[in-house]
Amino acid sequence: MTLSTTPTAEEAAVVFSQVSKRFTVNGEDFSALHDISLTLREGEFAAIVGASGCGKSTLLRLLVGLDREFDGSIKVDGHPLAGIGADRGIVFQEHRLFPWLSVRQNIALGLANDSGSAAEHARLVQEHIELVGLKGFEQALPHQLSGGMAQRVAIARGLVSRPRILLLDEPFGALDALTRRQMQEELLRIRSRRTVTMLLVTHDVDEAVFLADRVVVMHARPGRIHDIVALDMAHPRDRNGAVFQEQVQALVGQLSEPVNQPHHNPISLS
Amino acid sequence: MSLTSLVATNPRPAAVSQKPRRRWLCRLNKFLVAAQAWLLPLFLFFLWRLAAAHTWMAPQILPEPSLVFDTAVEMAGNDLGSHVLISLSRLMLALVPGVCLGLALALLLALNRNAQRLLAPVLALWAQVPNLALIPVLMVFLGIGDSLKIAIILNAAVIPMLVHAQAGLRDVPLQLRETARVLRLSFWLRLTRLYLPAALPSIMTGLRLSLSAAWTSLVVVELLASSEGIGYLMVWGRQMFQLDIVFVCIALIGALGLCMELGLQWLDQRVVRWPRPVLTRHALRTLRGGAWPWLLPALLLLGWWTATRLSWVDLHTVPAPLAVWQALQHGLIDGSLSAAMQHSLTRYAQGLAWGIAAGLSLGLCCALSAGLGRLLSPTLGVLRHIVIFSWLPLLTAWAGTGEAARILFIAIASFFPMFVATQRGVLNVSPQLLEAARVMRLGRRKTLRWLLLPGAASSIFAGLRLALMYGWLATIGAEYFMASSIGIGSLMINAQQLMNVDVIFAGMMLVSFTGAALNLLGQYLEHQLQGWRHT
Repeated sequence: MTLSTTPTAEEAAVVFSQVSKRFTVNGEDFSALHDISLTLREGEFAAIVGASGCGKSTLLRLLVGLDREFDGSIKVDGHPLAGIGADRGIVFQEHRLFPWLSVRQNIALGLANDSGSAAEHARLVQEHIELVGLKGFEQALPHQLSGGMAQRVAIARGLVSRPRILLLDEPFGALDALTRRQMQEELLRIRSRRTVTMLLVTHDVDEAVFLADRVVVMHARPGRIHDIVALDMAHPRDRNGAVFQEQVQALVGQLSEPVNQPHHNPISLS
Repeated sequence: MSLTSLVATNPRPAAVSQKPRRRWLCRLNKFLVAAQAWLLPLFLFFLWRLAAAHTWMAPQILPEPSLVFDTAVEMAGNDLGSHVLISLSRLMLALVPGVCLGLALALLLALNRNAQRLLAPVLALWAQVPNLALIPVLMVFLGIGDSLKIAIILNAAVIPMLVHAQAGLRDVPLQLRETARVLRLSFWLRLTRLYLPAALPSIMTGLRLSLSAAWTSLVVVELLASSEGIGYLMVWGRQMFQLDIVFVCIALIGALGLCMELGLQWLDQRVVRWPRPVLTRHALRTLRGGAWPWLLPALLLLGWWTATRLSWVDLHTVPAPLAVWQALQHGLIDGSLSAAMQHSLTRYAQGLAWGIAAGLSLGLCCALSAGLGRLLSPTLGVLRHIVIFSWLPLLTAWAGTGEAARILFIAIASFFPMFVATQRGVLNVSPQLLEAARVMRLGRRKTLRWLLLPGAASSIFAGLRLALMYGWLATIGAEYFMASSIGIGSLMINAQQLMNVDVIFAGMMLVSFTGAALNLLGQYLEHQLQGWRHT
């Protein structure tokens, strides 16, 4: 079931080649990422899973351009990465909405660098409010929203500038289990209406299998890619189906390998 | 109304089915609880009437309540309004530019690293010079006219705004700053959508403290040197031994202070509509810049030296740096300065000890016993708004101008911050932790020892720091107004009468230095006992 797919250069949206990242923590050198090579295809939904500390969030921060010190190369659309750009949007685990701005104003901030007219911006913002299902909440302030609603606003803000790649850094990690499932379905619905390459970082294997076309399994110390698994299941995927569960179990097993956990009891990681 | 409550549409049936009789009882109970706040004022009022009626104190120093009321009515019909108007116009004339200057400086420091390196040390030094210690110096420069008042009030208004706005701008959450980077917001958008709104709660705090400092300075400077305004009215009443006028003025100062505070609270709630940031860790970031921080102080010193050396300024108003140094040296050697400092510090320590002990114990009692809290804290909360220095005319009439009066005044000044901080600190301990303590059946003493005191510690130590500063300022103030004793304040104000500028400067430096040392002591104590906030 493990497939190693190498897409051709012309359909690659992002190419990481031999990316390494070191930190100095309390004077000690610490390798966060080691020799990461990964190619994301145009329009695909890739998920990175791994235990905490495996560097998966660091990888996202490099790609979005928040952190620019690393070894190796990252190419977006064939061009070397040049800092933060309009072609990449990001949704963080905490919604990071500006608490003093309304839903509409927060989403409009995503268009701060867009050259369209004011009317065009207003139309886009309204369109995205409706896309994430928050019609009627335009004037609300972030603290008046529930966690799931706030995260929808963050997604709308990430999408409103029409980036080609949307990065999702454990976007549903802080939500309760029910809301999380709802949001996962919501994300698939949004994706069906907008073609955008998505890279999701998560520690929830179930979430990765439900959403992604390919799952990248990472191991920690140093952060490295262990395996890349392609999922050829049609959407909507049945979480209780045998194929789904088999896939989840296999991935959980892969995540548990380095700590030598017995294969029949891998549940603790998901 | 929150939107989440719109989503959950489950009306609670329980509240509707209350019997009317019980509701009536409930209301009566509420009324009785609220009425307790008036018990203490009523008691004090009857005590006052009784004391006046039986002339326990001479009528000159304790006028009858009715006389005070009559005086108030008479003054209101006479020239009270114009005096108040003069005072308020002085306040606004200095407060507005002061606050703007403070905010502008804070923005400059927050947004420009070089400006921060260059200006921060000078501003920190400036913040250490107590406003009170500047009064004799500025009297020499500016005389005792309106320009002196404006300068003193303006100086008082700048620093609180600067300090709080700077802290607010510095503590903008890293996550939001990152988000602004990802969204590639322009400088202008960053300023208007991120930095200013994020700092707004701190800016509002700065505004409140600036107003309070300016109002206090106004009263002080009018008490010291003025021919019109509400402070002057008080001095005049005291000199004529018409304490009814002093009473009216104190009440008016308290009422105006309370109105301003409530007005700003209202504004604050209207402006800041989002949840305030929770207590964050102390920022321990310092900017090291090699020689930069020394540049401006060195230039200022050089300018001072050159100006006095080449006689650009009148040496009778601006002493040469060397003259100040010699005055400091001689004063310390012949004992005039050191004796003055010793007397002041002894007095300060005594007053401070009383004030802190009273504030801490009463604050604890009021927080632990709801009944006592309801009885005392409303009255004390109102009295707190009376500028502390406006008690001085009354205090000198009642307790004389001896040592006891000074110590009492210092104690009052350090009592209020300690009381408020202790009570608030204990009352603000998280209810979840209190529940946990109840579940563990910790008992009263253990709850106090392991939960309430440590939980309130940050507030208590913040109050202690304020008490240390207020006590010191009160020491200087008491010595200005009761200048017959030995003390650094008396020394300065007497030197001002003799135009002895080098001694005034030397005194100002000693006072500032002591104030800075006390501030550091307060910070050190706070830091030492607050380990859990630095993890």
